[in-house]
Formats: sequence, C-alpha cells, structure tokens
Amino acid sequence: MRFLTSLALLLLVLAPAERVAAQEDGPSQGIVDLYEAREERDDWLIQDATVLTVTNGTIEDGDVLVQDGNIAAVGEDVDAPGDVEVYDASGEYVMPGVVDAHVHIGISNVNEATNPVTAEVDVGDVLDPFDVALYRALAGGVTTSHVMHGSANPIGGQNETIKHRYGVTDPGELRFEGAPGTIKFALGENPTRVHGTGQDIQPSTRMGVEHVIRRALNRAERYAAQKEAFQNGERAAPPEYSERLEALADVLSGDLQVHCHSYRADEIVMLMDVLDDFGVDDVTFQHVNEGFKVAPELAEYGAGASVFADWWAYKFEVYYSTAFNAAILARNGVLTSINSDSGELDRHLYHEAAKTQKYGDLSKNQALKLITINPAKQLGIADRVGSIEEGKDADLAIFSKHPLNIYTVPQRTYVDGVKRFDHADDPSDVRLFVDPEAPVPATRAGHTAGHAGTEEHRCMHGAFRMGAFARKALQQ
Amino acid sequence: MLSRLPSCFRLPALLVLLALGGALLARPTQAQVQRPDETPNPDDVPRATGAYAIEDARVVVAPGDTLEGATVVVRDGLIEAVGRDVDAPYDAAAVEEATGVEEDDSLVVHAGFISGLSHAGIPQSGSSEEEPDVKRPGAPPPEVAGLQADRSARALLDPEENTLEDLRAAGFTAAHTVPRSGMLPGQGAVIQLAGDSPSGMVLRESASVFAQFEGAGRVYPATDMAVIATVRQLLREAARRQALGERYEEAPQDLPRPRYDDLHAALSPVLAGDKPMFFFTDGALGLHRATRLHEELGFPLAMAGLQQSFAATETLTEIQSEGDAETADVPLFLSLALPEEPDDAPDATPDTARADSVRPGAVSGAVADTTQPDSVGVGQDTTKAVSPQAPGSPFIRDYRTRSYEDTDGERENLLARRGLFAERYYANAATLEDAGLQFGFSTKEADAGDIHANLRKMIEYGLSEEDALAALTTDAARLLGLSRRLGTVEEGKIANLVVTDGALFEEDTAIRHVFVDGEPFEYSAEPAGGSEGEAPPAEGVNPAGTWEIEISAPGGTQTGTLTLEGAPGNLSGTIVTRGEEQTLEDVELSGSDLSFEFDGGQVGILSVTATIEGDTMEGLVTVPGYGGVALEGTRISGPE
Repeated sequence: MRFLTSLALLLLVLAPAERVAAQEDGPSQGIVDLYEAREERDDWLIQDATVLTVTNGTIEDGDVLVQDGNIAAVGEDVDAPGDVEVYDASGEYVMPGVVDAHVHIGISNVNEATNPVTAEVDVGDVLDPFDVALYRALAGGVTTSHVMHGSANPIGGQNETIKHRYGVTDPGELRFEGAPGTIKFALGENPTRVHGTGQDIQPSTRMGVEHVIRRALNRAERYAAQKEAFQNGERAAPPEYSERLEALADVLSGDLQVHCHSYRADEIVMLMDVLDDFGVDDVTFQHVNEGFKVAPELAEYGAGASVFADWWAYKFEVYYSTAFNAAILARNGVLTSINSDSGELDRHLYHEAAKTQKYGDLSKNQALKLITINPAKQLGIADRVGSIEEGKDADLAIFSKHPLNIYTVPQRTYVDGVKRFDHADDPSDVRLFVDPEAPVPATRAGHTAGHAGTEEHRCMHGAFRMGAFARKALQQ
Repeated sequence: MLSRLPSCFRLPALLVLLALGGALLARPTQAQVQRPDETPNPDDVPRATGAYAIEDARVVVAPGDTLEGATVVVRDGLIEAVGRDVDAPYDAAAVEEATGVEEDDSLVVHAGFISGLSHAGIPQSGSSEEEPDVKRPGAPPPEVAGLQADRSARALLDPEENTLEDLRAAGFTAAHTVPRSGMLPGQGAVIQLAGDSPSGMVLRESASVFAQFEGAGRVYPATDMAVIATVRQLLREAARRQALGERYEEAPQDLPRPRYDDLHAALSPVLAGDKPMFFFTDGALGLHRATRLHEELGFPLAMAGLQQSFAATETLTEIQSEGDAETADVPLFLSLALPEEPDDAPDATPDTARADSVRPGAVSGAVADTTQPDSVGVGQDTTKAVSPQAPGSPFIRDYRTRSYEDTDGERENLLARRGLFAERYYANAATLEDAGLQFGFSTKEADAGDIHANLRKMIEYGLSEEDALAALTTDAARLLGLSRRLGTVEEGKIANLVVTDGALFEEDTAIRHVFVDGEPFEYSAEPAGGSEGEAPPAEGVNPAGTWEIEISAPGGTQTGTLTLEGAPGNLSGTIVTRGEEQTLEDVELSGSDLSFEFDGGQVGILSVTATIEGDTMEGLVTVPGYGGVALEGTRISGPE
C-alpha cells in the first residue's frame, strides 16, 4: 500500500496524461492538477475560419496551419500533413493573440515605493506563474502582456514582457524570450504624492519629478563615462558598482526602453525634452490621457502612446480626457495601442478596441491594430507576434463572432501553438496552486488569495501599504 | 503569567507542555527532565564519571544497519565503543531502561538528529527598542535594511534559549542555526543543541551566509524584487572590491585605497565558493528565485523550507546534479512543518448537493467521468485510495454553480480541492525521495512538539522510514559536511544519540534519553511527538483584551485598536484603524503565535501574524501582492 501510494503520487506529479490513465484503478484522478495532465500539442490546423491577419487583410474561409508552435501557413485551403489535429472553426474568427501593453498581473510585487529612483529592481525577478489572472486574460484572447512596475516612483523598476503560458510552474517560462528590456517612468500626481506628500522628500512637484529624472540620468552618464575611462586605462579603478546606475546607463544606451506613466500634455512634452537632452529616442507614453493635445509632437518625436479607451476622472490630473484620444493619436501618426492596466479589463480589450469605432470612426482593422500589432511594435516584438503571418509565433485567439462585435465570445486561445484556453473545456477551479491553510470563502465574489480582485493588479499597488486605508481612488 | 494558568491544569497536559518546551514553567517542577547525576548544586561537586553505557539495546548504526542486543559506550563526549561483544566499562554509568518499559522491549539507539536550518539558541530580539527614525527610506542604515551578513550566529548564541530544549526533547542534537530577521540576517553556525557556553556548543562557527526573501518593511528593500536586486548589488560590488584589494596588495601605488566594510567582507567567502548562501524559502516561487540568483551569480547555494518543492522537482534535480557531487551539490532541507487544516474543513461525509451539478459535455464533448484522464474524481471517492485520511468529498473538475443561491456546493468543491492539495504537502518528502533528490530536514518553521507527528504523516504519505531517518541523520550530516563527526552510531563519532523505547516512527514510541556531546538528558514515557494536532496555546498566553497597535507604514506609523475576546480556541475580535472598524476573521492562537485576517478595503484581505509575550505583541501584517509590514502592540486592558 505504501509503495502504491508513493508511486501514484509520483505519477501525479510527473506523469503526462497517458501514464496517469495507464495507472489502472489507481487513485490517479485524486490530485492531478489541471494543467499538469494537459497535452502540450503545438501542431494544429485551424480550418474554415475568417482569418483576421491584421497586417495582410482578412481571409474569408481561411486556414491557419500551426507547426512546432509557429504559424506555418495561412490562406485558403492550406495543405497540411494528414495526421495533424484539425480544429473546425467554420463560422468563427481567428485573430492574432491580443497584446496588452500595460498590466500588473503575474508578479509578486508591483511597487518598490521606498525610493524615487529604483531602476535596479525588476518585476521580471518576481514573476508569479500561479496568478490566476493569467488564465483570465487568456479567456479574453490575451497571449502577451507587458507586466510593469508601478507608478510610485519617477523612475521605477524594470518591466517584463511575458507570454500567457498558464500552466507552467517555473516563473522563467513565462518570459517572452528575446523581448527588449523596458523600464517604468512615472510623472505627475503619483510620484509626488508617494514621495513628496508621503515621505516629505523630493519630488513634491512636477518640477521635482523632472529634476529627479534629470539628476538620475546625469549620474548614469558620469557612471558610464567612469567605467569607460577604466576600460581605456585612463582611470586606475572602476567606479563603485551600482545596479541602479547600470540600469540607467542601459536607458541612455537604448538597451532599456522607457515606458512612462503620464497624463498631462505639459509633462509629456517635458519628458520628451528631457529624453531628447540625453539622446534617448525610444519612449512609449502610458495612459497619455491628454495625448490628443500633443499628438503632432508625439508623432514627431517618434514616441508611442498606450491609452485607455474611456477611463478617466479617477483623480484630478485625469479630468481633461476624451474617448477620441486613441483615434486622434492614431490619425496623427502616433503609434498607438490600448492597454488594460487591470486584471479585469484585460479580459475584454477587444471591447475597448471597438470603442474607437464609435469614438473616432476607426476601421475594424485599425481598431484591431490597437491591441495587436501596435502594442507589439511598442514592445519591440512585432517580428514575433501581433499579426497572423507565416513564420510568426502561433499566438492566436478564436472568437465566435467578429472580435469587435459586442456579442462575440472567445472560444480558444493558443500561445506558441499550445491551446491554453478552451471555452468548451473550462474547469471550475483553474488555480494551479491552492493554499492548504487558506479558508474558502462562502462565495468567490470576495477577493481572496488566488481569486484576486482587480485591485491587486493596479498601478499604485504597494505604494502606500497601510496608508491605503485612507486613499480613495489611487489607481493609475 | 503563572497566575493565569487554568485551574483545570492537569498532569497529562503538563507533560505535553514539557515535551513542547513549556519554558514558562519554573525549573524546579521539571522532574521529568533531569540528569542522572544531578546534585543540588552540580557546580560544587565534580562529576564522578563522563562515561555511560547503554546495554542490550537495539542499535541503529545507520539507516538500514541495525545491531540487536548491542552495547553503546559513551565517554567524554565521544562514542567509545559500539557492538554486541562490548562490555560496559567499570566506571560507566548504566543508562537504565526507564520505568514503564516492558521487560522484553529493549531500548533503541539512533544517531542524534540534525536540523539543517533553525534559530535554536538565537534569542528573539528585544521588542522594546524604538524603530529607528530613517530620514531617507530609500537608503536606510544596513541593520535597518536587514543587511547584517557580518553578524555571526555564534556571537548571538544563548545556551538557555528555549528552542534548544524543545528540539532536544524531539531528538535533535545538532543544528545549523542562523540569526533572525531581514534579508541577510547573518552567518549560520553548526551547533550542538546543549552546552554550558556558546563557544562550547559550536561545531562550525561560520557555516553559511543566511539569506531570505524578507523585505525591510517600510524602507528599502521593501519588496522581494528589491531584495533580489540587493543580492546582485552586494555580490557584484564585493567582487569589485575583492579584485581591487588583490591589486592593491600587489601594487598599492596610484591606486585608491580599497574601502573595507564588514558587510562586503562577509560575502567574500560566498564569492570564493567557500561558503554557501543559504536561502530559506517555503514557496515554489522563492525556490526558483534563489535558484536563478545562484545560476546568475555563481555562488554556492543551499536551501531550506521548500514546502512547495513538489512543484519544482525538475529544477531541484537540475541544480543537485550540476557539477560533481562533492562540491557543487545544492543541499536541500525540507521543512518539518506541515500545513494545518483551517477550521472550515468539511466533515468526511460526502455531500449530495453537487452530484447533479456537472456541466454536461464539459470534457471533450463527453460526459465527464472518472475514465477521462484529465477529469478529476467525478462522483467517486477517489481520494480514499490516495490517503488513508482523505479530508472531505471528491473534487469535481467541471462543477458548475447553477444559481447565486447555491454557493454551498461550490464551496464544498473548493474545500475538496484544498484538501487534495494539502496532501501534496504531506507527500512532498516522498515526492523528492522518488525523484532521487537528497535532503535533510529543517526545523525553522516547525513546532518542536509537532515534528514526530509530521514525520509520521510524511511516512504515511509515502516517505520510506529509512529515508526519513537518513534525512534526520546521515544525509543531513553529509549535506552539512559533518559526516565524519555526526550522523551514525559509530566508534569515534561525537556522542549525539537518541534513545527510544521502541521503533522510532511508531506513534506510541517515546524518546527516553538524548545525548548531546555525551551529556545525557532523560525524558518521561510520553510519546515522542506528544499528541497529534495543534499545539496548545503556550501556558498562560491569553491574547484577550484591548491592544493598542502600531503598524509601520511608509508615510509614518499608523495606529489602531485591536480588541480580542473569548478564550484561546474560540477567539474573536475587531480592529479599528482610522475610525474604520473591521471584524477579525480566523483568529487563531497556536503556542504564543496569534494570527487573524481582516478586510483592508482597497488593499484586499490583510493577514496578521504576531507573537505575544506578556502584554506586548510583535508581528507582521501581510498585504496581498506587497509583502509584510511590521506590527507592534501593547495591551492596555484585560483580559479579565
């Protein structure tokens, strides 16, 4: 009995489905976790769908052949190997997996709010593959997310671009391999409230925010120069090592791309001036509620803008906003995306994109670009994802109706060709990990660990900690 | 506190408490723990002999190697002889079979257990000190930031500290002990779990640099990501200083004089590969994070805790097999704590409410049933086969709640899954054993009184008794590099022994004698693990009353009032902060550790753990997704 028990347990932990099944009459079903027993097939033929390629038009009655996790062929009546698994998608729509350019899911920490400059910290170090929000996003067609440090500090930490490979347990396996590094900057009320009001240190004002950023980049310039001087033999010793200045030097060299939390037109122009002074070209502004006022300036700088469809007025600096923002930015030639910044909103970014048809008359394809190829470009991963093209990663979302249709229902989501969400097979409890000591609430409506409410995933999380009792609408 | 002892306090409970180390009891009452040669004042009279003999015993020399009817002779701290033909020397004090042992049962001698990670001998730091006023939270002094790698466990050792006695009573004789609190609390030492002086207890003074993912609360590093960045910063700067120092030794001219500081200097042996960075981490995430740092920075790694290592066996196998077994082995020490089932656990009667709530055609278009490999136990008590004590009814993978009024069924389903998940923790040791991983045990999180019950549970869930004993003795000794001195009952080794009155892992077996460095400690016939289940509240600890609490927030300290009512085991209460009152959930007292949760509004459910000492409490508020912030409390009134 003891032997059997231990054998069964080993199988449960290690075995693929077939082996568990082979364990006749064994206790195998007992604690198989939902994803460990799941196949990881990455070869498919998705047949007879309306294929929204985003970059090469729409193919009615099209097929997508997936091989080894990549898109092997797209078109009408694609030839496929005889033994490939076929999904009959007739009547359904296939679009590239949604790319969310700004969210705070799948990480253990959001803000290191103790210092105005924390360039050395990296949310990529604290990825949490057990966050059920990753699955919920999959259920809305999201396959890639830019998970960001929060907006408590003028220069926050580094972000991570991840794929929603929900089911893996090694945090490293969430990483979008080869995606460029990015770092969070933040302007305006959040950093001044956290540091100025909260701790009585600089910055207390928008002027102070600019100064903190300039001073940090100045130091990084000096640090890089000292290192170079040492390497050239002009200096006897290297400067004292600094993780923080190393990261900031990477900002100056372009190895870390700036993604800056911002709302007001004046501060947006301010940061472009600062970055211009330091020769930093790559910047995407996040939120950018007043971006419509400075769209030509953004376009001229080559800056990206990642916005909400219609979310504002949650604090003073976001009163001057419009639902036409995305359309105005896009029509002025600004590389524009729509993001969620929320573990709830990310489930229906296709709705958010659709709003630009109501407010701004964008075409269907223009609207879809806002949540696919455009954010992919902003994150430097457009060669891999963001459209349905041969050779790209097979990150695909299948919808019952056109994804911009309000009645559409996501059917399946593939990441690297692996089916990670299936509307027809959506278990009752998709958590990968259950805390054996946590009480189960009377209903799941409440927010508990493992069933995190959206509050957990927002920008200012961790910035005030216990001070949060007093805060009202601190999000964003 | 003694005056608050319940009047119904009776002897059996007293014995349990003693096994748990009822430290608050006055020493004269400890009749059950005494040395055979005890004199009214032992300092006045020299001991007659340092020799002891255990005769006609079953001797478990090493796991799987047993001698029947053998004699073990201990002299002056060492094992002098072991064997069937050995005669007890004339001057050896005979270790008696204590009363209550059946005539035909002999004593069983094992090597003393070794804990891979513990705070034994390290007192809790005093709570009276005011928190230092840090001007710049982003750059606090190292001791506030938790950067104290230059501290040594030896320097903090107190031979009178309670855990030493508790662990001894559970059969532990040596431990790798580490300082407390912060991300780099100090250097670990391997110590004997008894001794007259700190230096007399030390087997290896500086065995490790201890590390944990513990932020500094309201100052940098507050989060795990900043802790990780700080490890990188310190090791890379230490490497720079080391290189500079070496150049300076050779040719100081024209070189800036290297700055010396204790913190970076303490990390040099880690850089050089002479000493491991020894991480405590319970979760699967921390395990991966420590592993990543180890791979990135190349330092020798050891890990303890590892309660969720069943989810990371692949990673552990990789790091244990990298390089040659002698040097690059990553020592692993599994926590002897197991999760405790919360109060809301369902009773064992299967429910009927859920039977018809499976969505038809949920799995691959077919009705879900147990023959589907990926459907989890639908409609059949599959849990029974896994566990002799499966809690509750089976988990239904495709359970659907049909109405907002019908949440009970859903709740039961979630409870069932939680119960199944708890079993993975119980089977964790077996999982590692089956994966071929080598491990010892850590007592850091474990209540000493629960250890034997937990070991039995691990065995019940598939760990072999031989491997369990190896993890307690030989493997632990090897992983700590002490195999030549500890781990087996062999001639010439240090006389650390555990003597039981029966097979070690039987429930009714008791530990009768423990030898540390040849010094005997005698115990009563109470079973080794004490009774199963939760630790009773430490004697006299009653958290009831009104407490003024202070929570360290970044913008300043937040104060509040905590009101606790009821008796231990049935506590309830409220917390008021900033004029908002919240009801406490899941108020529990285990030993002197209080825990509860409450709704923190926008930040989510806050969980609090605190240790009560008299009228003060000290602990941690855990904020979801953020981490812990310090909490302190003072009782201002009650209990009645």
